[in-house]
Amino acid sequence: MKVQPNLRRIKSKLWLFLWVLLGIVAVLPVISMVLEVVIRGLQGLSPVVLDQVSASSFGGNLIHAVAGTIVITLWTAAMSIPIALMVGVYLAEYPNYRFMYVLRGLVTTMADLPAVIGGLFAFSFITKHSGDGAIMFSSIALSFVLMPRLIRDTEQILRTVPSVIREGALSIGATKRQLIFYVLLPSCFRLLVRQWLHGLARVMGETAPLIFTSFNDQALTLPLSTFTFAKGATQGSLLEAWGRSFLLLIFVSILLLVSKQISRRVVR
Amino acid sequence: MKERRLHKSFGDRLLEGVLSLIAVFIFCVFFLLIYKFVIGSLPAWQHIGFFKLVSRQWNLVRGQYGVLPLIYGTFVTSLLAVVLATITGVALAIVLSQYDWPWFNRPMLLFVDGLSAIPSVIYGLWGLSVLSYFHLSVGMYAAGVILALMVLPTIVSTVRKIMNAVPEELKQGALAIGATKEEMIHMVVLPYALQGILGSAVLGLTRAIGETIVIVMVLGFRGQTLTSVLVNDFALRTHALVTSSLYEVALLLCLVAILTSIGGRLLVRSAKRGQRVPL
Repeated sequence: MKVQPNLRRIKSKLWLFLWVLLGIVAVLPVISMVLEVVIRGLQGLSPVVLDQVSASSFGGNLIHAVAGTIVITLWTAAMSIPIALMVGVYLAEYPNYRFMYVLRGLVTTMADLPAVIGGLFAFSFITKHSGDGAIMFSSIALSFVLMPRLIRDTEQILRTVPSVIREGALSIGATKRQLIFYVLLPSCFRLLVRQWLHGLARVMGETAPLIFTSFNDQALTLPLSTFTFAKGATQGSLLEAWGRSFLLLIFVSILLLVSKQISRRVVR
Repeated sequence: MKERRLHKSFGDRLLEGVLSLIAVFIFCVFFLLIYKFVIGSLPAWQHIGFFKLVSRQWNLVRGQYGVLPLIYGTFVTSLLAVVLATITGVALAIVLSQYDWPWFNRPMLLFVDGLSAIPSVIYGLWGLSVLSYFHLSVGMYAAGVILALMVLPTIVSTVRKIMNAVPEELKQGALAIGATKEEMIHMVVLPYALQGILGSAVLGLTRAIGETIVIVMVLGFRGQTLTSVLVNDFALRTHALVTSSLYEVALLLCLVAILTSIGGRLLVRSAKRGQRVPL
């Protein structure tokens, strides 16, 4: 009678050990990844290497890629945030016509489409492959990726607003317009901003869609030039790639940290 | 419709009109996407025909347009990724949801967040460096393992939510009849969450199928997937039929992604509501 429970207890602890072990093994690579990006990235950003870059044949200096990343991210934000906000409000605040169910399903499906599809979609609108337009078409591609995700987020955030608030506003005579613009949107503004920053951080690191819309500018943004240099696969070009990926990681983390800070101050 | 408000001001109507127009715009975007891809791939359909399409060679320069190797590549890499990520992700989700260990759970959550925040190029770069460090070669297995890391956050967050929702009475009941906590998890939590686990695995599959840049970097030329071929063969677009066969591959990719996305969402959603889909 005494052996049985002990065996069971040992077996249980073994299971627990296995779960913890598997969990640790699964997330260990993050530490390695971040360390490697920081260490090699700092090497890759050293002045000596940077001097060689400007002479290298890829034609992409660092400033170009940084500027491209920032400009494209801003354009993407400008294109996708207003539309996502409007569709999100429409889905959350207006009565459920049958049309809405279809729209909701469509948005979810579009959010799950691979990002490359966005690139190819934007590419299909390009008529002449010369001159400017890389920024515009890249932003369109990224907006296609970002917009459905933001719509879903906006709708879910608006649904967390208690219905008491809506009823209160309507009962003192607010119109729907006033309800949306003066009550609902201000009350979850911080959460919305957090989601925007989050989405932009995700989209900033996208590489695949930009391959189709970069007009052969292989250093258009930081992720794209990281990819280009990594393909070079010589020791020097790999170092460049690490340098760029380090900068990219910094940009992404800044956006994410700001978004986290914003959500921390939400008082509910 | 009975409770329609009598006094809808002009502004309210205008707002609703504008919003519904924008909503229609979303529909238009989607149909434009399908239209563009179908039109773009039309030459490929006409010239290649169905039988050449399901052949076993893909080499656009030599005029071989078989998509089977691409489907095989996608299937192997993403299935490997999902299996690995589900095993580890479920283990992690169990600990995160059933054990109240801040010293373990807080860093783990941070790391999982980190995994989902790191851009995919960095995964590729890191993968290349790890492979060269251990003198391993690029290929399907390497790509699958690195994809597993990218899929992990999706699975952990979904499964954790579902495991948190296991009714307390069921858990207490199992403990009351003398099960240890781990036995209780086997008896109650895992069966309860099974459908959600399946659903999140399918959602992870959606993500793994769509991942591009990591595959391009880590798979090298040891194989092709539906996504990597788009990037790799894009440079060949001056050849005849290349662009249109890429559109055709993209159409196929859309179809696969839409199917897995709908399947996964249905499974997860009904699991969250506590419903069971007859399987």
